[in-house]
Amino acid sequence: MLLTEFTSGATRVNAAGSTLREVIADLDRQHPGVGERIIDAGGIRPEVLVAIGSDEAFGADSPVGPDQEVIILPAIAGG
Amino acid sequence: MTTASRPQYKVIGTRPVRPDGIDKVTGRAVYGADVHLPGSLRGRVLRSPHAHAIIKSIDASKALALPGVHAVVTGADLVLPGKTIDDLTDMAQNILAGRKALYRGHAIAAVAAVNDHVAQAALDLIEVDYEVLPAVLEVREAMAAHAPILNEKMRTRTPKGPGENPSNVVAQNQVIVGDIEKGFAEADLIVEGTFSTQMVHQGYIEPQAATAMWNNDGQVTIWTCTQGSFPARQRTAEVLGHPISKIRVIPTEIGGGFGGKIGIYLEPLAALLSKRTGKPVKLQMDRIEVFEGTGPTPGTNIYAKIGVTKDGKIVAASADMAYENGAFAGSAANFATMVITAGYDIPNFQLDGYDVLVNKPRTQDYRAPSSPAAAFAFEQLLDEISEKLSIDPLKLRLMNSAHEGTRGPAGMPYKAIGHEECLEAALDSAHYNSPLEGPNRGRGVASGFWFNVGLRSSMTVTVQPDGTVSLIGGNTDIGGTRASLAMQLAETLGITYDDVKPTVVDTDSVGYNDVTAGSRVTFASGMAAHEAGKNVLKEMIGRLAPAWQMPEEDITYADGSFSSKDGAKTATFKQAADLVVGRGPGLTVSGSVNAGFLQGGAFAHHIVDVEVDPETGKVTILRYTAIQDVGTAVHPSYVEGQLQGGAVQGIGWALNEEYYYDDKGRMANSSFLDYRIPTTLDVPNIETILVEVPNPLHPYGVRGVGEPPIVPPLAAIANAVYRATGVRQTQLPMSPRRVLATTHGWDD
Repeated sequence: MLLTEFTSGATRVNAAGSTLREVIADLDRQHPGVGERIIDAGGIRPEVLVAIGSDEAFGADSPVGPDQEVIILPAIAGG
Repeated sequence: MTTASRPQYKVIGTRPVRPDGIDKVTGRAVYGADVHLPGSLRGRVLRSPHAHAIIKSIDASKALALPGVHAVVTGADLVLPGKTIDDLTDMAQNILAGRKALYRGHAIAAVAAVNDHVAQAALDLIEVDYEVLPAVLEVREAMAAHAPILNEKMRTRTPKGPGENPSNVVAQNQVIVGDIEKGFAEADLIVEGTFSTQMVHQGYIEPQAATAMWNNDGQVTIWTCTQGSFPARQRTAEVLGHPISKIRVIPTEIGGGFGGKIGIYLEPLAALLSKRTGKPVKLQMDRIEVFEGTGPTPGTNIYAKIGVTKDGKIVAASADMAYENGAFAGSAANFATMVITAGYDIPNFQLDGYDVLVNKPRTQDYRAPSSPAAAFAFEQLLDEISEKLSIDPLKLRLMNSAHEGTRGPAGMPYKAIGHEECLEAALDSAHYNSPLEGPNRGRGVASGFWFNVGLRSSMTVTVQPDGTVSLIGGNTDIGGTRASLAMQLAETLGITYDDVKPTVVDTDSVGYNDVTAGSRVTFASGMAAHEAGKNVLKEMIGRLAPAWQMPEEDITYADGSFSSKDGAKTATFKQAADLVVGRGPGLTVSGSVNAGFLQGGAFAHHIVDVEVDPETGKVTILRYTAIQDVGTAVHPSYVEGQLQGGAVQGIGWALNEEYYYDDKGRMANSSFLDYRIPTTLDVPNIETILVEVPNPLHPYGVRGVGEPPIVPPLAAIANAVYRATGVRQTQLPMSPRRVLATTHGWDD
């Protein structure tokens, strides 16, 4: 399932929070169901790549600064 | 070419002999098919003769009655308790078909017998009742409303929700940045075209092989030539419903993979047959099975469009990209939407990528999956722009190049990257500045991008009493990584390369390692080796402190020696090892990293000169130069080898290779006699230029190098053929037949 299915096709949305977990929780409040596709009990789901600004995030409690971008992508692989 | 910021190292950057070299050139190295256990049975796989069929029944009674046959298994044997055959995952159904055979070569049943001849004879006695269905082989035809449906439950995932009706389109992936309509409205020139590529195979020389022994206590040992022993363990566990704690995977040496040996095929079959028979079971594929039963890379159809100002600035781009998945869902088109414009700073673009089921083998990764086909389209359009605007093709790319801070289409701003440096190196190269004279000759250029991944790696280091160290890892060595990892550890420890002994071990003997793929091992496992090295030094200082009767803080390590702050005591690494290990307990430490998904991206640029024979259509490569940002070249010879190998595979993809099907979905060229990969007679020496822009995400600035060099060749050669003939090549392969047809205006 594509994440944009939860946001009516929107690829850019606003959410509040000072950690990734808080931002995703707010996103989930606005678009129910999307949160568990990004973070589960173990942290960032292994099939999801999350970046905060230009840095990849490694934990759900990573800090998010004011007006900072959180980028959510599918996992990358390779040959 | 080395940038000013590249530090100087003692070991990194040298060219020592690889530790596995002698065994490999003398035939002593053990590959997948070299595993022989006492009392082994041989397995064989029955494969579908049809591209699309319902399996109404399978009767193995006659096969089981044949003397020497020990067991037969089918898809029903992979069904876990409480499940139905329709509950089988795609992975399981690709290993043994469920309700339907979805491509010619799809595994239907597997046999274990006393020898290969009996196993082969048993296959002929298995009676399968098929209801043959219409097949669909071409990606755009598979997307049409009337197309035969492979999976009746499949509903297309779109950005706005799932589709209502069954479809072969697995997903529509979409990336939108800026305002595409506004961007094209600002353009002074718009170029567009439709490009198609055929399914091709990685062409690794060693066929898949696996041997398994299922003990009575449930412990399973599997020997296999895999690119990833830990993922192979995980996937085999899932398919068999058996815990990973009871599966040990021993990776053999591997005769090439390029992404094709990430997936599993024979491992669960060998394990299942061993469980049934109580004996070790070995299976190995022949070349036809490799072509028809493993995972090639997708055929594609891409419509692309670029808008530029009259000065050559790209203001808009769009692409509609259809990628074959083969018979089961994959994600190549998703990658395509993130790579096609990755080399350039473009304000407005819309990229749509469609994953599409067709009645062909389930595709797998192949060096920079999705990117070569995407570049084949995009880089040809750039060539058309350069010609129409009379701008040098390299300078056109340079003025639009992505750089540090540019948002890649994946959305993340790049850190230090080297596309501009590659283009400048190309402009300065002897090749680009040499004349190309004579009729029917042309020069082409093209760029390529790949993400390169990080993922998880673990390495264990043991310090020996004589001061040498053992480096234990779990990544199959495909491209010389024993050497590249040993070199990084030697650099960290300040010792010589010869004092590090690297070994690849099984899944019970070292911490978790992801696959040898994604250009990640020298990067991520190098980080793990560096971490382990730091832990070694910390532990040795901790042991020296009481011996030297001083606090740890008063001991430093530099240039291969431990020293007290006051200079009164010093010890080389070997002397310290003798003291703290030779006279103390063993010293073994590990380093483990999660290097994330992204290394920061890598770029390549290739230049090629060709000559096209106007009478035969044969394209001859006259000269070829591969340029690449390699971060830090740990072992330059092996880096150059990766660039040369990628270029040669790309040349084969461009000129000769394709899965050639008849109208019933049968591959007509499933041997190396008819599926023509390049030989040494087909290519000149591939010249290389290593651009070193250190990667800020790695302690030694390492970037993966294995995948980017296969991205540019398809487009670079097509651009060269255009310059030689005046005819744009929009379909691969550019075989003599197709080049003749297009240059003479004949029907292809």
